[in-house]
Amino acid sequence: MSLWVDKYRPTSLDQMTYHKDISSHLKNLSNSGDLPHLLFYGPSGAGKKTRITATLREIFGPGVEKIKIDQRQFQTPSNRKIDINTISSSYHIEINPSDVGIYDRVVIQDLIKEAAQTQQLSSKATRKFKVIVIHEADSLSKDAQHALRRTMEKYVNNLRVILCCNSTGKIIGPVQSRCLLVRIPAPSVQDIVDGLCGVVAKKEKITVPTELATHIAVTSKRNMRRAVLMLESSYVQQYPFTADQNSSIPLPDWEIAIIKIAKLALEDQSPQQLLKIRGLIYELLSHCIPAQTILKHLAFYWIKSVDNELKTEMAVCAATYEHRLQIGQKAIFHLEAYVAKFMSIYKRFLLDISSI
Amino acid sequence: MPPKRKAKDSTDPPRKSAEELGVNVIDPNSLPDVEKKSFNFMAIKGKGEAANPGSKEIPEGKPDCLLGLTFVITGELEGISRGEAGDLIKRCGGRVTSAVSGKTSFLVLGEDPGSSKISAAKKHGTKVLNEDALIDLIRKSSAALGDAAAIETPDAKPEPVAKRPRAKSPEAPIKREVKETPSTEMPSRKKIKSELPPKAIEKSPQTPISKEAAAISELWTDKYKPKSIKEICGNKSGIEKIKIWLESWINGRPNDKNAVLISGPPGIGKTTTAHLVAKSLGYDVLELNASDTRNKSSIERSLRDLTGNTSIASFLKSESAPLNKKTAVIMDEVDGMSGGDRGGTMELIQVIKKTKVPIICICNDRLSTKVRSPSALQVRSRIMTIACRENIDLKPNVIEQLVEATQADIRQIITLLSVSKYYKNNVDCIPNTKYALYFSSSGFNKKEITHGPFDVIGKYLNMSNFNSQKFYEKVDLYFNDFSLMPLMMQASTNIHLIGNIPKDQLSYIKAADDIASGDLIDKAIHRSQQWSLLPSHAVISCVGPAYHVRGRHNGMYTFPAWLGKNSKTAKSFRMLSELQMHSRLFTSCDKNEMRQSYLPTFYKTLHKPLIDDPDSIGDVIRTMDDYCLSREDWDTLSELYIPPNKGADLKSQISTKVKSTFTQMYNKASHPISYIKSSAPVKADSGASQAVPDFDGIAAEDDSVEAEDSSGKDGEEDDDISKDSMIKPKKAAAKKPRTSKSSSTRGRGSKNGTGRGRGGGRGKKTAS
Repeated sequence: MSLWVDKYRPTSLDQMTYHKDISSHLKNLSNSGDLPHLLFYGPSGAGKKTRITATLREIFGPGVEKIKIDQRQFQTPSNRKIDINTISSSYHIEINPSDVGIYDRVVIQDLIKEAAQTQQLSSKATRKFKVIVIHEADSLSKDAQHALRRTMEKYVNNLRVILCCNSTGKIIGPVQSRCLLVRIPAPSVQDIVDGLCGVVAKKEKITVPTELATHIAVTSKRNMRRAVLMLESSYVQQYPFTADQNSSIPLPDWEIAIIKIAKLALEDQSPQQLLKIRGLIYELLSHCIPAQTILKHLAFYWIKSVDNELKTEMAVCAATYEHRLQIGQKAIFHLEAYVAKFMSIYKRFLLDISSI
Repeated sequence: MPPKRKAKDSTDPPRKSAEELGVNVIDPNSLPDVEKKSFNFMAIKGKGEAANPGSKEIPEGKPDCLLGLTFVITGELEGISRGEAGDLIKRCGGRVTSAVSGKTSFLVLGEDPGSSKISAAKKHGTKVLNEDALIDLIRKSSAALGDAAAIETPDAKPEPVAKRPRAKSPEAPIKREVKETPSTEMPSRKKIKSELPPKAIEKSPQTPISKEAAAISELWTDKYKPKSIKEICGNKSGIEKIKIWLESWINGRPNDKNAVLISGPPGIGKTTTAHLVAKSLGYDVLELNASDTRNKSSIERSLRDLTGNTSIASFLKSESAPLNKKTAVIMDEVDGMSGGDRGGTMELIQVIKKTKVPIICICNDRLSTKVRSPSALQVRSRIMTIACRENIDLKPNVIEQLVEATQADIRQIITLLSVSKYYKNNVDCIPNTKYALYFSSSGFNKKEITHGPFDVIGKYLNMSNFNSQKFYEKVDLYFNDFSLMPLMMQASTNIHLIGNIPKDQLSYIKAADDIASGDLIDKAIHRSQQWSLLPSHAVISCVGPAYHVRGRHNGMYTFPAWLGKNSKTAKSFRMLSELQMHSRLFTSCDKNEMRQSYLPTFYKTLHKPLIDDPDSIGDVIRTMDDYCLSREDWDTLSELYIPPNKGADLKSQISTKVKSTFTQMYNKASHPISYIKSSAPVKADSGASQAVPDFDGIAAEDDSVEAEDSSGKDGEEDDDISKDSMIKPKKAAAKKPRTSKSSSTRGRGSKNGTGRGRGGGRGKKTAS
C-alpha cells in the first residue's frame, strides 16, 4: 500500500486537475511530432515532474513508465571514480547531476554525449529522438551548464533535453534561450482543496472536511505533495476527522525545530543563547535540512514576529546572509552570523524601547 | 625546570650583601603560613600574569649584578609578570629555580604565594624579598657594581683576562672551572668532563690552529663534528646499544635484528653517531639521504647488490683492498621518504628483510623519541671547548640560555656562534653578557616552534597574551595550522565569552560576523587556489574575532565540533540519497523533498503501527516493499527524523520484542530491490548469460506485459487497464514471500552495450 501521494498521482496529461491550460499546451506540443528543449520551473510540489512524465508518456506511450535504475561509473580527470544513478526507459534517461557535486560536468559531457551520439534504435519508437531529463538543474555548476550548451544544439536530431528546476535564476542565459520555458506555478489553495477532497478522498472513500483541507493547503505552503502527505499523516493519527483537528495537523519535524531556534533567539540575546542555537543548527544540518531552508524559515518567522519598524531591516539582513551562504562554504558560520545579526538588531530595538 | 638546574652557581664575586645595600629583606619566619590549596589547573592557567603591568618602573639592571644569586619566585607579582621577572634576574646574572632549597638566596614573594615554597623558605631560613625589594636590590647592586667597576677597572673584570690565555692552552678553562667551582660542581657534570678523554682535548685543538687557513672556509658545524664516539654529547646508552648491535654482525648475519632505527629531533647527532659507530668498527659507510632519489627502483638498484653481497664483492674489487672490509648502509632521513619516493619505503622494508649488511635508518619523528636531546650540562662542555678554541668568551649561563633557546640543537648553537663571530669583528672586546642579551632579546635565533591548536587558541583569546603580541605574531599564530585555526576560533569564541564581561555588549556578534566573512575568503582560496589570501584569512578569521572576544581565560577550549558535524552531515546525505534512490521508481521527488515532505510521513506510517499493534508488522513490511525500502532504510528514517523533544522518538517506543520480530520477518522474506550497484560482483560481464534463466524465473505474464507495453503505443487506454490489473495482483501476491530475489534482478541488454549489471525494477511487480 503505497502512500496516497504516489497512489493517486496522475499519469496522463488529461488527469491533471489544475493548470489545465498548461496541460493542453503540452499535449499539443507532444502531438506535433517535434519537441523543443523544455525547461520546467516552479516551486516544489507544483507538479513539474508529474507533468514531465505525463508529457513523455504522451509522446512515447506507456513504455516510458517501464523504468529502471542503473548505476553508472565515471572517471574524473583526476582519476577519481564516481557513481551516478540514472533512471531510464528505452526512450528517456533521467539524471540528477547534482548528486556528484562538482563533477557534474563530467557526467554531462560523457553521459549526455554518449546518449546523444547514438540514434534511437528501437523500431517501435514513435520519435527519432531520445529525451534526457535533468533534475535539479539549478544546482548544475556553471561549467556543466556550459558543457550542455553546445550539446543541445549539435545533437538536436537525436536528443531533446528537459530541464527541471525550482528557479531559472541559476540557469545561464544561453541554456535558457535554447529551451522553451514552462512555468508550473504552485497550485492555488482551492486547487489543493479540490485535489484533496475531490480525488484523494473520493478514491480512498473517506470524508475530508473542507476546513481541514483548506488548513492543510495553507500549512503545506501550497505544496501539493506535502498537502497529500500531511493529509495522510493526519489520517494515520486520527480518523474520522473532526472539525477541530486543524490545530493537531502535525507540522513536519524540521519545521518545529526551526521554529524552536527562532523562538530561542527572540527570548534572549546572549553568547550562551547563541551557543545553544548553534547546537540546534548543527542538528538540523546533520539531519539533511539545507541551510537555505533553515535561513528562509527563520527569516519568515522573525519577520512575522517583530515590530513593523524592524521588518525591512530584517528582510535586508536575511537577503545579505542568504547571499553569503551561497558564496560561502561552511553553512554553519553564516547561519550563526545571521542569528547573531538578528540578535543584535533585536536587542538594540528592545533597549531603545526600554529606554523610552 | 629539571631539578639539576636548581644547583646554585656560587661563583661569588666579592660583593655587598643585600642587607649592606640597604634592601628591605623580610625574615621568612615572620611570614604567615599559607594553607595548601587543592590543585586547580584552570586557576593556575591564568596565573603568572602581571596584575597591573607597567605600574612599576623596572630597572635595566647591570649585567652580572646578581651574579651567583639564586632566586625563587612565588605568587603573582604586581608590576611585572613572573616570566619577565625571571628574565630580568637571568639577564642580571642570577639564577631562577622553581623550588626553594638550601642554596636559594632569595624568595621573591608576590600575591597569593605557594604554601610549599613558604614553608621551605622557613625551613632553610631563606631570605624573602617582595617585589619592590627585588627591584631595589637590582637597582642598588647594579649601582654598586658600577661604582666598583669605575674604581677598580682592572680587577673588576678578572674573567676576560683569565680567559684570554685559555685559547692557547685548552686545559686551562676546564681546570679553572673546576677550581672556581669546587664545592658546587654537579657530579654528573664532573662525569661528563672526565669522560672527555685527554687525547681528544690534546689532539683536536691543534687542528684549527694548524689548519687555520683552511678552517676559515670551513663550516664550524663540520669543523667541530665529533671525530670519535667519545666526543658525542649525551645519549651514551643509545650509542652503546648501536655499537653492540653492530658488533653482533658476524659474517653477514646479525644475531638480533637486521636494521636499527635512530630517531630524534634535528641536530643532536644522529647521523654523526651512526657514522662514527660504523667507522669505529671498521665498516665502509654508504649513506643515502633525502638528497638522493629514493624510489623503489633506485633503492633496488643501489642497495640490492650491496645488501645481497658479502665479502666476495670486495674480494673482486682489487687485489690491494683489504679483504675483510665490511659495509654498512645508512639510510638518513627516512621520514622524508614519501611523496616523490614512491614505493621507497616498501622497498626498504623488503631490503631490510633480506639484507646481509647492517642497515641503520635515521629519522626525526617517531612516536616515541628514542634519542633524547642532550641536557644543557652535557652540551655545555662541548660548546665551551669550541668557544675557547675559537677565542670566544662564553659564560656558562650564556650557554645555558643558548641551549634553552635552541632546544639543545648543538648544530644550531655552533652555527650561531660562528655567525656572531663574524658579526662582531673583534670578539674579544665584546663583553660576554652582550651575547646573552643578543641571543635572548633578538628573536632571530629563536627556534621556530609549532604550537598545538589549543596553545594557539589560548594565545589568541587570553587578554594579556593577545595584547603582548605584535600584529605579525598574531598572524603567524594562525599559520601553525591554518586549516584548523578558524574552526578552533569558531568553536571557542562563545564559550570563551560566557563568564567574561565583554567591553562591548555586541562583541560576540562582531566575532560571529568576522568568522563568517573569513569563510568567504576561505572559499575563494580553495576555489581559485589563491593562496596569497592566507594572511587576509588569518586576520579576518582569527585575529579579528580574537580582538572582539579576548578576555580572561575560563573553561576549556573545545575541539571544533564542525569536523564531526560535517562528516555526520555527509553521512546523513549519503543515507538520504540511498533512501531516495531506492524509492525513486515510485516517488517523484528530489532529495530535499524526500527529506522535507516524505520523511515525516514515512516515519509515522512505518513506526506508529508497530507501537499500536504488533500484528501490523506484515503491513509495514508490505509498505516498505512497495517503495523498495530496505531494513537499513527503515533505520535511516528514524536517524534523519528530528523528534520535537526527547522521548518523542517513535522508534524507541517500539517494544524490543516487536522490533526483533520485525527484523526476523523482514530477513526471512526476500524483497524487491530497485537496482543493483554496478560495483556489486554479481555480474560484471555475465549479464547476458544470466538473463535467460532469470526470464524463466519470472512468470510468463511479464513477457507478455513487456510486449504489450512496447507495442502499446497505439492503445494507451488498454495499457492503463492492464497497468491497473498489474497493480492489483501484485498486492494480492505481496502477502506471500517472494520466491527468489533473482526474479527482480533480471539482466537487460543495455543500450550502449556496456553490459553492466542492472536490476529490472518493474520485474518484481508481476512476480506471483
